Amino acid sequence: MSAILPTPSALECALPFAVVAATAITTVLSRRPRIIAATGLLAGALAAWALAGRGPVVVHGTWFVDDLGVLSGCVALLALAASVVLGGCRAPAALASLVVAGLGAWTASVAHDLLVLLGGLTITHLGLVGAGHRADRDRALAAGRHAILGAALLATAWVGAAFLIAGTGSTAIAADVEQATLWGRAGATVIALALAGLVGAVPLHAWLGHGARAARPTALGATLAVMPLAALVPLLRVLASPTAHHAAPALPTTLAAIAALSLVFGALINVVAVSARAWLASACVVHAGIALGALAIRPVGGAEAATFHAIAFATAAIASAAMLRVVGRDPLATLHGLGRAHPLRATALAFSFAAAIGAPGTAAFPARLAVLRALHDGGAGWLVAIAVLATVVPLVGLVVLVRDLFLVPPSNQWDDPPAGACWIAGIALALVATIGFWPDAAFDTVRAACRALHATALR
Amino acid sequence: MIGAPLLILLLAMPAIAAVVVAALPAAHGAMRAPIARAAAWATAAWSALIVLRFEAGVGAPQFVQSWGWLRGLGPDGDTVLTGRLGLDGFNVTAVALIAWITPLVLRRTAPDGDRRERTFWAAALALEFAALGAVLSLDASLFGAFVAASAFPLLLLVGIWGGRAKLDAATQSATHALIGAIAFAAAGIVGLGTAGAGGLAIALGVIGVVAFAPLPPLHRAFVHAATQGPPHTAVWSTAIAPLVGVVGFTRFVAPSMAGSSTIVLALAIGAALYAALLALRAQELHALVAHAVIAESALAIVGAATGSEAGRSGAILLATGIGLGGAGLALVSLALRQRRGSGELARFGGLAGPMPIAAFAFAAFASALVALPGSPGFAGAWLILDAVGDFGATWVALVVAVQAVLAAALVTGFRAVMLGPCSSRNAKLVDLERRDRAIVFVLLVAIAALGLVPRTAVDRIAPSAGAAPVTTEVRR
Repeated sequence: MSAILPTPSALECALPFAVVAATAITTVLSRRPRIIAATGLLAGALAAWALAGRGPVVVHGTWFVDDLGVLSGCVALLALAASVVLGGCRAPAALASLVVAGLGAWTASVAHDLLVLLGGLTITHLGLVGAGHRADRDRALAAGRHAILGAALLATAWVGAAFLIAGTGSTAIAADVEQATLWGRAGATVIALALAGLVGAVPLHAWLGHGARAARPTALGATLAVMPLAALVPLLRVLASPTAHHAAPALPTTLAAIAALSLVFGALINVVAVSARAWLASACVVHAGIALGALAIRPVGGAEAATFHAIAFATAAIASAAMLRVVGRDPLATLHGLGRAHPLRATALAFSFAAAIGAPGTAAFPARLAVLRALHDGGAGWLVAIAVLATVVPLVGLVVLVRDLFLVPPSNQWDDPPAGACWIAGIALALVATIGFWPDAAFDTVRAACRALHATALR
Repeated sequence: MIGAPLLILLLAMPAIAAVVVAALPAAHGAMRAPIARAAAWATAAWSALIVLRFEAGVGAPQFVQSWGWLRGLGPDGDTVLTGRLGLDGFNVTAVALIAWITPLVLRRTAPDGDRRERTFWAAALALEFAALGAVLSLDASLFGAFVAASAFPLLLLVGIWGGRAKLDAATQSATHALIGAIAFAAAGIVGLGTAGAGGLAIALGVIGVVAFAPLPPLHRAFVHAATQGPPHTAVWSTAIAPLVGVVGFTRFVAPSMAGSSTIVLALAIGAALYAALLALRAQELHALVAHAVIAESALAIVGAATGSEAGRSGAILLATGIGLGGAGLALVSLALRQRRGSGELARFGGLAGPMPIAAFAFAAFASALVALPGSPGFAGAWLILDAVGDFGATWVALVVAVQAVLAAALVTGFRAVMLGPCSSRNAKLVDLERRDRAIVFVLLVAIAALGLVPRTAVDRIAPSAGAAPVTTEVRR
C-alpha cells in the first residue's frame, strides 16, 4: 500500500488535528453539541485513517505519522465519538472537553518530539478531567483526585523529559545515543514509569479508579479506553528507541516487576469490586499489567501483542460503558435479576464485562494469548503464570456476576434504554465478538503498523 | 462425502439447534422440545455414521478440519496457532458416547412445561456442543475454548434446576470449567502437546485437567454438581466431564511429560486413593457415585501418565467404561432419589425386592464403573496395570489397592440401598419406568458389547496411543 500511495503532505498530516480542533470550538458554540462533537470526531478519525499506509513520515521534526500512530489515534477518536453518542450528557463544555481529549490523544499518538508528546498527553488528561461529573460531593472529590493524580504523573513525565533532553541533547523521542549519561538514564526511566502509570499500572494507577468514579456516563468508556491507549503507544516508542536501550538497561526488569504487581493487584481488586465502574477500572489495571509485561520482556514482538491488547481493551471498555448506560445502574448489587427481566440486556452486559477481562470468545482473549506467547518466547515463564492467574481470578468474579444476573430474582424495575447507547453497545459488542473469533485481520493490521515502526522509523 | 466437513457438521447440529431453541418466540414455545430432541438424535445418528466410517488401525487423526486462527506468533513471528478438529483413537469412543448419551438423557431429564424451558434446551445442547468440540480438538487452546463454552450452560442448568445449594454448586461448577479452560488455552499457547513442551505448559495442562475433570483437591465442585445439580448435570458430571478430562490429559499432557511422569503418577494415584476413601465414607447416593467416578478418572490419568501405548489405550478404555457406568449409575441414583425424596443412604435398604430392575442395573453399572470383567473398563484397567508394571510392583499394588477400596465402597453402597430389611415406605417404591428401562437397556448393551469384545475398541485406540504427539503449532 505504501508503495502505491504518495507520502502525505504536511497539510494532510495536519488535517485530523485541524478537524478535531475545529470540532472542539464548534461544539462549545453549537446548539446541538452532541451531533457536532460526534460528527467532528468521526471526521477526524476518517481524516486520520486517510494517512494509513502512507508513512512513516516526519513532519517539521514534530510529528511522526506512521501506521501505529494512525491506528492508535483513530481508535482513540472513534472511542470518543462512540462515547459522545452514548448520551447522558448535553453540556456543551463537557462534550467539547471530550473532543479536546481526542485532540490530545491524536497528538500523543503521532508525536515525534518529547514536548509534543507530553503536551498531547496533558491535553488528553485535561479533556478527560473536564468531561467528569461534579453532581455531588463524592464525584467532585473523585474528579479532583483524578485531576491531581494524573497531573502528578504528567509532571513527573515532564521532569523526566527535561532530564532526557539534558542527557541526549535532543527533544526527539527516538534520539539515538551512543553512551548513557546519568541524566539520560534517569530521564528515560522516569518517563517510562510515568507513562506506565498513565497506562494504568500499579502503583501509579490510582487516577484510574477516581477517573472512573468521577466520569459521566458519557465519559466512562473514554476515560478507561483513551488515556491507557494514548500513553501506551508513546511508551512503546520510548522503549523501542535506542535511547531507552542504551540509557536504561534495567528498565525492562523494572517494568516486568510493575507488570506483575499490576496483574496481581488488578485481579484482586476485581474480585472485591462492588460497582461496575470499579470492576472496569480493575480490568484496566490488569490490562496495563498484560501490556507492560509484553513490552518489557520482548519489546519488538511484544509491542504488537500489547497494542492489539490495548485496542481490544478499548473496544471492550466502550462496549461496557455503553451497556452500563443501557442498564442505567452502577452498583453490581442493583443489577441482580436483570437476566430474568431482560435476558438480552443481561447477556450483552455479561459479554461486555467478559470482554473487559479477556474471557474466551472476546477480542481481548486472542490478544492475551498473543501476549502470553510473547512472554513465553521472551523467557518470562513466571510472568505467564501470573498473567494466567490474573485472567482466571476475574473470571471467578464474572461467574458470580452472571449468576446474580440470571439466577437471582429481580428486585427492580428497569427503564427503557437510550437508543444511542443500544447502537453503540451493539456495534462495539459485534466488533468484540468478531475480533474474538476471527482475530487475524485485526492482528495483521496491528502487526503491520508495529513492524513499520521498528523497521523504518527508529533506525 | 470425502473431504466434507463431517466433524463441523457434527458440531453444528447441537450449536444451531441451541441458537434456534433460544431464539424461538414464545408463541412457538411448543416447538422447542421437539427441535432440541430432534437435533440431539440427529447428532447421535451423524456420530454413528462418522464412527462407522472411521478406519481402524490408523494412528493419525481422520476427517481433519483445520484452520489458522492466530498468525504471527513465535520468536520470528512465523508461527500459526491452529484450530484443528479430528477423529482418532483418543476420541472415537468419546464422540459416540457423548452423542448418544445426550438424547437418551434428555428423554429422562427434560423439564416439560417448565417456565424456563427455553434455557434448559439451549443450555443442554450447548453443553453437548462444548463436550463434542473439546474431545474433537487436536489443539490444546481449542480444547480450552470448548471447555470454556461449557461453563455458562452448566451455571444455568445447575443454578436454575439444582437442589437447595444450587447457587453455590452452579458457581463452583462454572468456575472450575473456566479455570480448566484458561489453563488449557494458556498451556496450548506455550507449547503443550508438542514434544518439547516445558514445565510451565505441563503444569498448566495438569491444572486444567484437575480443575475440569476434576480431581482432588479441586473435586468438590464436581461432587456439588452431581449432588445438587439437576439430572442432566448429574449425568454430565459423572459420565461426560471425566471422559473429556481424560481425553484432554491423554492427548495433550501425557505426550509432553516424559521427565515428570513419576511425579504425576504419584499425584494421580494419591488422588485416586483419596477419592476412593471418600466414596467409602459417602452418606449420599450421588456423592458415592461422584467420588467413585473421580477415583476411576484418576486411575485413567495414571494410565496415561505412564506414557506407554498400553497405558494410554487403557486410559481411554477405562474412561469409556466410566462414561457408560457413571451415566447408568447416575440415572438409577436419580430414579431412587426421586422416589424416596432423598439421596441419603440411611433412608434406603431392601430395595432389591420392590425394585429388582433398579437393583440389577445398579449392580451392573457399578461393576462397569469398577472395571469388573465383562465391562470395557476391565480391558482398560488391565492395560493400565500392565503399563504401571514398568514402574515397579509398588505402583501396581497401589493401583490394585485403589480398585479394592472402590469396589468395597460400591458394594457397601449397594448393600445399604438394595439389601437388608425393607421399611414399609421403601416397600411401596415403584421400580424403574419404561423410559428408564429403555435407557438402562441401551447402556447395558453398549457395556456388554465393548466389554465382551474389547478388541473392537482397542484396534481403534491403540494406533493413536502409539503415535507421536500431536503438534499444536505449524510454521508458515
